[in-house]
Amino acid sequence: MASQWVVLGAVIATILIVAPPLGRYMAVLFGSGPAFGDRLFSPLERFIYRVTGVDPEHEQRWTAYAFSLLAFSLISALGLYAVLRLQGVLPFNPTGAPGVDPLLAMNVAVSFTTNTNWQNYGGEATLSHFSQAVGLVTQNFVSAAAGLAVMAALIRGVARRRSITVGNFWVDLTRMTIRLLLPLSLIFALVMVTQGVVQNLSGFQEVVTLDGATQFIPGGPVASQVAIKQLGTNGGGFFNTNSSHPLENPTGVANLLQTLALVLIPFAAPFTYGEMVGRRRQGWAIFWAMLILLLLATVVAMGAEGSGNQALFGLGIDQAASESAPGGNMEGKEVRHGPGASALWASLTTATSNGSVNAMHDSFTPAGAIVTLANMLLGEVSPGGVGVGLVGMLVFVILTVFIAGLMVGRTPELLGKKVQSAEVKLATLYILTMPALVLGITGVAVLLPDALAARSNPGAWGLAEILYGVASPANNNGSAFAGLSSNTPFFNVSQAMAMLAGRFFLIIPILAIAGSLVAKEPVAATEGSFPTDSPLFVGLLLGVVLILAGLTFFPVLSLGPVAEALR
Amino acid sequence: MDVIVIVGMVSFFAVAAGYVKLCEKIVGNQSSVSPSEPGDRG
Repeated sequence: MASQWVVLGAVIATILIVAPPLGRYMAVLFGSGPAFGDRLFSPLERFIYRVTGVDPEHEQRWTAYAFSLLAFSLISALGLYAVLRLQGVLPFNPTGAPGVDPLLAMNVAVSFTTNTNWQNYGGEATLSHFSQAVGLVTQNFVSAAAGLAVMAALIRGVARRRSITVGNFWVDLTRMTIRLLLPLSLIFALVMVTQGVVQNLSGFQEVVTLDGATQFIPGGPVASQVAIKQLGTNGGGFFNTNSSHPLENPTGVANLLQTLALVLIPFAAPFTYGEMVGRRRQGWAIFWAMLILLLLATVVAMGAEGSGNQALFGLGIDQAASESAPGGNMEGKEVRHGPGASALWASLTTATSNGSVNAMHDSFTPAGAIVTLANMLLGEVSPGGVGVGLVGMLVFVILTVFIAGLMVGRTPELLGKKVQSAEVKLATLYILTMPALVLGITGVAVLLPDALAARSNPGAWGLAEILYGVASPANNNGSAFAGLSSNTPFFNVSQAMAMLAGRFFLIIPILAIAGSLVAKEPVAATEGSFPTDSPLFVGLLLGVVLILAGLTFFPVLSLGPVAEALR
Repeated sequence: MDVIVIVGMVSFFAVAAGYVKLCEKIVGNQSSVSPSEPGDRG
C-alpha cells in the first residue's frame, strides 16, 4: 500500500512538470500567431476550412458561437444515432451486432456527444467495431475539442477589452482536434499497444484453454479508443468493464499512464488561462485550488480502500496485505491493481469528468464512494473535464469575487473587469442547473417502482446507486457505480435529458458571461482591489466551492452513503 | 420510435437555442448599468 502513495506523488510531480508547458502550448493554439507544427497542420486546416466553408478570419459574437456549438452537437448526435441504429448493415461488424434499440441508441448518442460517455450499452457485446471506432471515437475527439473551445471563448471574454467577439467556434474546434488531441492520442495509442492493449479488427476468437474449456477472446480497435477516452476526459471503454479489462489495461505501466492521462489536459487548462490573460499567477492560483480539492478527495479514498471493509473486520476476516493478497477492500477490484491504484483512479476519473473505471465503485467502502460522488457533485472543477472544468472553476471565481465584494462593500472585479448583475445572474443559472437536475431526477426515480427495481441493493446504498446514476450523467462524468441496471426506458430517457441539460444549459450561460465580459474596459487596480491570485483568495474560493456543494447535497448524501457508513 | 427520438433530440436543441436568447436578454439588460454602481466605495 505504501507504494501507492509513491504513485500518487509521482502523478502529482508529473502534473507539475507537464501541465504548465502543455497549458502554454494550448494558449498558443488559441491565438492567431505562429505555432509549433504549422508546416504540418496549417495546410490540413486550410483544406478543412475550404471544404466546410469556414472563414477562419471571421470572429463570432457569443451568440453565434453558441449557435454554432448547438448546431454542431445536434448534427453529431443525430449522426451517431444513425450509426448505432444501422450498425447491423454497416461494415466492420465481425461480431454481427444488430442495430441498437432506439432508446438505448439515443442514450449513447447523447452520452458521447456531450462528452459524458455513460455506458448503458454492453461495450463489445453491443456495438460493432464501426460504431466504436468511427461513431464513438469521432465524438470523443470533437466533444472534447468543443469543451476546450468553450474554455477559449470564456478566457477571451476575460482577456479582451471593449470587444464584441469571443473567437470562431469552428476554428477553435478544428485546431484543438488536429493540433492537440489527435497527435497526443496517436502517441498514447502506440504506447498502449506496446503494453499489450489490443488494436485489430478481429471479432471474438474461440480458443481452448489448458484445462480443455472453450473461451472467447475479444478483439477490436481498442488502443485507439483508450487513448482519447483518457486524454479527452471521455471515459467510454471499448470493453464493457472498461479499464479493468486486461486487454484494455493490461500492465502496471499501462495503468499508471492511463491514470496520468486522466488529468494532464484538465490541469493544463489553468495555465492556458494564465497565459491568455497575461497573468501567470492567476493560472497558478486556480491550479492550486483544483489540486488541493483533488488531493483531499484522493487521500480519503485511498486511505479508506486501503484500510479495508470495516464490516469484515467484525467477522474476523484478515484484510492485511500479504505476499498473496494486496490487502484492503478488494471487493470489485482487480487484484493486479490493488486498492490503492483503484482508489486513485476512482478519485481522478470522477474529479475530471472522465468516467472510465478500473474498479467497480459500488463495491467501494462508504467513505470511498462518498469521494467519488463528492468529486462529481462539486460540479466537476477539481480539475473537471477538458475545458469545461476550468470554466466551471471560473464561474466559482466570479461568485467568490462577488461574495468578497459584498463583504467589503465594493463592486467586485475580475482582472479589473467589474462583475455586475448580468454575470452574477448567469453564474447563478450555471450553479443551480446541475443540482436541480440531480436532485429532481433522483427524487422522481425513488418514487417509481421500475427505477427502484434497477438497484442492486436496498436501503441507503440503493439510494446511493440511484444518486450516482443521475449525478454522473448530469455532470457529464459517465462513470458507473456498477450497481444500477439502468438500461431501462426511464433511465435511458432521464439520463439523456440530464446529459443534454448538464452540458448545454451550463455552457450557454458561460458563453453569455464571455460575451458580457468581453465588452468591458478593465479598470486600474487600486489598493482596494481584491487580488485573485493570493493564497487568501484560493482559500476563499475553496470555501465557496465546498460550502455551496455541501449545503446543496449534504441531505441526500446523509440518507445515502453517509447513512451506510454509520450503519 | 425513431421519429419520436429524433423529434425529441431536435426539440431539446430548439429549447437550448431559446435559452441562448434568454441569456442574451440578461446580458443586454446590463448595458444600461453604469460601471460605477451605487454603493461602490472603491
